[in-house]
Amino acid sequence: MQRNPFSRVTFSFVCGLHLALVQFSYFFLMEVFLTSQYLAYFIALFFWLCGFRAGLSLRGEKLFLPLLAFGVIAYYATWTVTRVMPFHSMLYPIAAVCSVVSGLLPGYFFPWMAGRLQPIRRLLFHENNGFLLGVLLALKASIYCGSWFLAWAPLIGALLVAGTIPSRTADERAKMSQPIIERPRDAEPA
Amino acid sequence: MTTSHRIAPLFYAVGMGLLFAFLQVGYFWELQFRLTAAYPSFLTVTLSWLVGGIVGLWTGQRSRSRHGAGWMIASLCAFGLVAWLLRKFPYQSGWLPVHGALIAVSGAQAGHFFAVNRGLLGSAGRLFLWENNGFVLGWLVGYVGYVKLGSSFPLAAPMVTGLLVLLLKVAGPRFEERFRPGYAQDGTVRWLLFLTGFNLILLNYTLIRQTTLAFRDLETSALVMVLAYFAGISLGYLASERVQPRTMARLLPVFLVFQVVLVAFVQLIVVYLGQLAPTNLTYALIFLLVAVGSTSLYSVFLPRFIQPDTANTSRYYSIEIVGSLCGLLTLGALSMAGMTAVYAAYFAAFIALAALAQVGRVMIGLLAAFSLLFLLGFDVIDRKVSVEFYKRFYSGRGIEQVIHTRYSPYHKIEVVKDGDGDRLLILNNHLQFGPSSHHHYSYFVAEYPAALLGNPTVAVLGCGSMSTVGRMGDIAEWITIVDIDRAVFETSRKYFAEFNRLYELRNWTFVDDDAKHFLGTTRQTFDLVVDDIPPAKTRQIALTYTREFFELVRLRLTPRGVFSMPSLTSLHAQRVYGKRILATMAAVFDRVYVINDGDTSYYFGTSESAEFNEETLRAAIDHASRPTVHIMLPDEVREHVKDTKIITINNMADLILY
Repeated sequence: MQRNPFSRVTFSFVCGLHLALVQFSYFFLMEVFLTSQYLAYFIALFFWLCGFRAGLSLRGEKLFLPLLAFGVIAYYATWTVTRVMPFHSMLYPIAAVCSVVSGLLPGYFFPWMAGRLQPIRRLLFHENNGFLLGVLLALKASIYCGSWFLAWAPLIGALLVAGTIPSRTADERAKMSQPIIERPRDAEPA
Repeated sequence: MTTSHRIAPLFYAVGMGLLFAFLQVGYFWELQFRLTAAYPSFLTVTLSWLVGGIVGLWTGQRSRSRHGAGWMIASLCAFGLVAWLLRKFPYQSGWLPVHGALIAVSGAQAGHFFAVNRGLLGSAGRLFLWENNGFVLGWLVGYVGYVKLGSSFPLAAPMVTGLLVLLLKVAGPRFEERFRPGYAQDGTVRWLLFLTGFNLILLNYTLIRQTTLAFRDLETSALVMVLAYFAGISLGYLASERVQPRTMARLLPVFLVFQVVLVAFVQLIVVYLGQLAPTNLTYALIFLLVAVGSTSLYSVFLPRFIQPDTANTSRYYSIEIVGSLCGLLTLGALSMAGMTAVYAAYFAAFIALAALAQVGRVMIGLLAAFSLLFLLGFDVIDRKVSVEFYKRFYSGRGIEQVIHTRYSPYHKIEVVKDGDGDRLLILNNHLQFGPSSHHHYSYFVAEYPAALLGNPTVAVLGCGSMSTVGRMGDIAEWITIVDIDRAVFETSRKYFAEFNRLYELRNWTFVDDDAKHFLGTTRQTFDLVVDDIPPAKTRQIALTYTREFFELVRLRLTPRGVFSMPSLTSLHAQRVYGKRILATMAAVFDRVYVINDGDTSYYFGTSESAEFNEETLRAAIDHASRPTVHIMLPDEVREHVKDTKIITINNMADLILY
């Protein structure tokens, strides 16, 4: 049952936007303060996806905001280190670890929202459209206002996400009060 | 109901065989290169591997876990450590026992694998057979890889293979499968999703990259094509419920043919569309073609499979992500081998996906034949299309033939022959070098400042044809050539040897690094830094035209040092491109001198202590245009750019989209 699907659509869209801003901020950060070699892009994307994969395994209902916060903090940790020691080789592992942390949120987001916005294609569609807008903004902002973008975009994205989190329905609150029982792996689908 | 799945164990056995061969080849090559080619290297690898194998067999028989992830990580770390130690302490035989101990760790991994997986394929004999097939293939690929791609291949191959196998083993599709409605079996669904993730990554490198190159404005086209890529994904999500498996089976062959046609002929399509319609409409049409015909196909699967089984969202999405991770690793391994290798991987995955998506056997055979034909003919088609493309854009040069094409992760590198029989260097469809550049451009940007300084140490940022190196090779004390793309260096060394003279000069070295990173990390200082980086048509290149970059250059100059940079736009032209760059240099360097030679201006930035007057500057010109060039001294330069905005990383668009 969905009481306020519009707010959930908006939320999915804004999440996509935020994730694109963070991911592309990592790319640009590496490009500007470390190297334009493809290794930098590879590391940022590879470890982001590793974080994504790990995030998909996370259970629990209350992790969204902590993961949002940790993701942004991890980004700003990388941002700070690039300022303190630009072009240093240690930036590779630091960016890799931080990308994993930031990548946890998108992984957690999909199964977390899957029960809240149905059918699933709507969730994927609206999140991807947000991501699309984020890519557009990121690519444009990087050439018009590069350092401003790197300094503020992930934070603004996170604030937008936090501001659009939909309230829970009564059904969901009731569901949350019950223990999470995972279905056996080999069980037949209904 | 569960059933055992045969393909994955088979794949695992072959993959491990491949890995063991790569590890052995890697150890052999590393020890031979950096320690000794004599018998102790061979003996150490063989004996250590055998001893390790026995230990691995012994521990495997007592092990409860069949996972082997720990051994995999230990083995790859051991390999990495051997490579590192050999670089840190080369040619030191005293380290041989340490290398032996580390090689034994990899041998132990092999022993452990056989001990715990003896029943994996039904019998130990079958396991040995398929592992050995992988091993033979690995030796063959390892040898050919070394011959074709050099010493980096034996180093990278075990790491990439090991990580791929580990990823599949830890997070890939399970060997057991459950029957479920829709695409028949759960295993089928999992492999479909895995291949979807895999090909989405490769598609970004192949189709999107090719379409981007078809346009002259690289920054805008890259933006439009990346957006098309993601718009296609949205489209697929939207259509996921409407596309039935039977429809998908019919559409898949069409998609493959469409993608091949687009990849092969997109340059000509853009040229012809450009003649019929305005540029914006051409962008819109190619955007639509890419969005509809590429990623939309793949994004249909995920929501379709999750929808009836939302509880499995994490599990199914995980498989697609693991596919993407494997795609990235594969791309990293194949990208240096050229575009054909990446296409081969893409087509193989596509055909596997089509087979899983219930495309008929005859059609699968036709698709395989079509893909094979394309791969065999790709080089010829690509060259013919390029010639037609360049006839349109460089019509005055009479380009008739592409002599050499190479795809690197950064560039499409082409050497073409023009109507006069001269060779031209083209990077990403933009003309980079022709013989006339050697006589004017390379003289003023390199030989002139080198002669002015007399016996300088030089850093050349961005190599291109390296004509600049040939120009000042006899004057400079030492030249460090820096370029992000080793493939450009190798191509130019071979095809532009008459200009760069690397075969006869002995005072140069090549560093494959990004110019920023090189300047930010090197401890060397130079008397002359020559900026031979192409015009700022993309964000990545524009970063090297900013105040931040010039400040890095300044830090690496000696007190008498000169930073030499050309502008292919006249200072008196209406475009402010050249003026903006000059203003930026004037903001960073104490003195900036300019020599205007026709439509090209050459800027020279120096510190306070390096001062020249006009007579000195003109007298040092050993070129036919000495009487005609216009020289601007620092005061005139400052006056000329006094109201001009400088370039920083906050306004690169002004440079890129001028």
